[in-house]
Amino acid sequence: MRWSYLLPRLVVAAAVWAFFAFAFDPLLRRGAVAAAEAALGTKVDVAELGTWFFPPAVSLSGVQVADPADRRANLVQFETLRLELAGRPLLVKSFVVEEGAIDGLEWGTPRTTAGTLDPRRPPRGRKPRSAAGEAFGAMADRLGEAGQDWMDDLVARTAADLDPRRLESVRLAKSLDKRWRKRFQALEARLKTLESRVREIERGTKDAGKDPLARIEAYARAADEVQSLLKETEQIRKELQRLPKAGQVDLARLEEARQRDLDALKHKLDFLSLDAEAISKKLLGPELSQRLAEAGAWIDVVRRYARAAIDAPRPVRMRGVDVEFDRSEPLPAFLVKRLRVGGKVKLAGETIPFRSLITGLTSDPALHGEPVVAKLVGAGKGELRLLAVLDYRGETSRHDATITWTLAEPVVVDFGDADDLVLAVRAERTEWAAEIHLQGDALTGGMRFVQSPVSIASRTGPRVRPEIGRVIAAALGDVRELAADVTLAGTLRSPEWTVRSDLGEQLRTGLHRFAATEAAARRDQLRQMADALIQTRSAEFQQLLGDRHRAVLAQLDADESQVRALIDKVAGGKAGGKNPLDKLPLDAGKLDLFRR
Amino acid sequence: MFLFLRPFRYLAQALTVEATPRRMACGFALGMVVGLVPKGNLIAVALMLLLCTLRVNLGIGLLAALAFSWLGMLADPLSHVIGARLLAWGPLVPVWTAMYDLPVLPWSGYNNTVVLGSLVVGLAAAVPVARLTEPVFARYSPRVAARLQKFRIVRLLWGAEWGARLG
Repeated sequence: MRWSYLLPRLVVAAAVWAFFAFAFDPLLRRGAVAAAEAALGTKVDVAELGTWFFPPAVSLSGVQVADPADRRANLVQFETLRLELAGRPLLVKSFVVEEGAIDGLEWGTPRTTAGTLDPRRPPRGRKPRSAAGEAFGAMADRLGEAGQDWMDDLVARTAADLDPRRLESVRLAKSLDKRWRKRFQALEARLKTLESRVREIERGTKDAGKDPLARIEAYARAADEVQSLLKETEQIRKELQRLPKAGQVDLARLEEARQRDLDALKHKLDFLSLDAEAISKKLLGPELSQRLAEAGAWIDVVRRYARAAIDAPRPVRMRGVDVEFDRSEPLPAFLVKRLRVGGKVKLAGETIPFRSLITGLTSDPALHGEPVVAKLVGAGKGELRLLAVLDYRGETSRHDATITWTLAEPVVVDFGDADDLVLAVRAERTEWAAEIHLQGDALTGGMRFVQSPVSIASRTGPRVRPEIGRVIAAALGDVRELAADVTLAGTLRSPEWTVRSDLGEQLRTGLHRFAATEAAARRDQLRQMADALIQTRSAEFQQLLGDRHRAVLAQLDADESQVRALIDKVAGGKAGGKNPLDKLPLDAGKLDLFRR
Repeated sequence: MFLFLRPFRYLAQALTVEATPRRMACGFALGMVVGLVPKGNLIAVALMLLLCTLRVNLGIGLLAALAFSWLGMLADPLSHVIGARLLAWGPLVPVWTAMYDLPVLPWSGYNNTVVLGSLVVGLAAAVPVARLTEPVFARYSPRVAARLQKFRIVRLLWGAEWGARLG
């Protein structure tokens, strides 16, 4: 045996073994880290990498990918990754993962070390959201703005439409009040004039002196005056009798004005119902926008990771071009038949554990012939279910996702400005289900959002009159369910959506009911006010008229007695049974009017 | 001291054995081919094994591989063109296709334009290079060995016997 020949070969063989035993995995780990850092432009940590040849498998542990925008946070991290490869395909350079598992997957976790490749380089700043995330985020922002506009509009409209000063019936009632007061004042003035004229008659009879003829003449004039006064009194009485009829006419006018107010209000409320979408956006906006953003983020995550797996970057240092030849049994270069993923995900501000299964992830979807299917179940306070089918087999990629989320716990959302109006929505149960289809960039789908049962309370701030808050609270008081259907269209970069909900109708009905109740109450109030005005004033005036005329009557009676006494004196007590006063144009019967 | 040096002496022996000009020239030619071919494929591994297995000078071969690894990159454009033409050449396509269907062979990287091109360039240049370098090694290796003998470390590693053989 020639040791000079054998020894060097043994040394080389030992070196090869030592390389695979001790250096291969660390070198592979360094290579993987360098490649990932070059591809992602951020710090990547891999604690350990292990390889097995029989059966072939790769495992990674302690993997952290730093967030380029935040040195102290990870974009993604997972505890372990194990891929069990199929041996036969591996012989023809095809990586077929029969079974894979990622455990402890989390996003946005804090880092203990700086997550930057170059410590001197400042962080990139807030990372730009992906196309989907940005578009859905903008959509959510616009949703909030639209809702806020409606909220302001509702407050302004309610303030304007239900302002009592602007109601015709109220204005009419006020003018009627003024007119009736004037009318009664005029009657009072005429009554005072009567009184003064009676006093003048009294003075005239007293000032007649001792001369009987002069006195007779004075009494004759007084009788004329009394006659005139009686006519005037009769006139006033007739006018008084006509007052209730006039009052009825005015009440009818008031009723007509009220009806017109009600019609106008109804018209305005009908017009308000056109904004049902905006109402829905406002009341459902916070939840909807959050769900939309989450749906967008999920689409984004699924698309990004699936695309990254499919479009694996070409090694930077690779030289030449690989020419592919046909195989009798074609196999994709990379295929994950089953990958179980477990970890935690943030949803609606809550971190919930999840388990998922991804199948059919491949570098050659057309060859594999099946789409990528991802199923995810998360259970925290709420339950999340996601089914995503990503089909890259055709010329145009197709993504279909179904997401359902159920939260059986109460959710309270306050929105609005504390200085204006705050609506507090409390929902006992929240459910949303989204179906999103993306063909190429064309987006279709919809989302159904239901919160039930709900209660809505309102609080008014210093800038809003309490009655407006009362109106809105009354209108919202009967809302027991918040439900909305969002229809998505457009493209992923520029999504369009419409919100359909019966919430607007519920609100409109509530406002109508409130307006009808309010108007009826106001009508009764106005009627009572008018009736009270007319009747009270009329009664007062009747009382006044009665009192004053009793005084006038008493005076006239006294004058009559004086006249009779004087006639008796002039005629010697008897005048053939005839009273000379009977010749006077004095209708004594009419004097009885004063007695009545 | 000697116990400590023994492994290094073995290594030195491994690198300097087969030190005839012909074997040095063969080692140089084979090392050149190893250097030219991109690494990370079974062709490179096989060439390396060949270098280690054949009775050629391993030290010269490794030095040549190191040197031509850098020089080889400069020849990539030429290698790429040659490899692409060979892979697309009709009569050979069935061969390549059949090879692609066999186990392990896809790992050889023969379907890479630069791998195949540089292998062809290397193999084509191997014999002329061996022929050309043999007289050079015959003329200059004794002088180099004599100069190296002056270094204490060389004497320690190679030992008197090997120094004498080189001389």
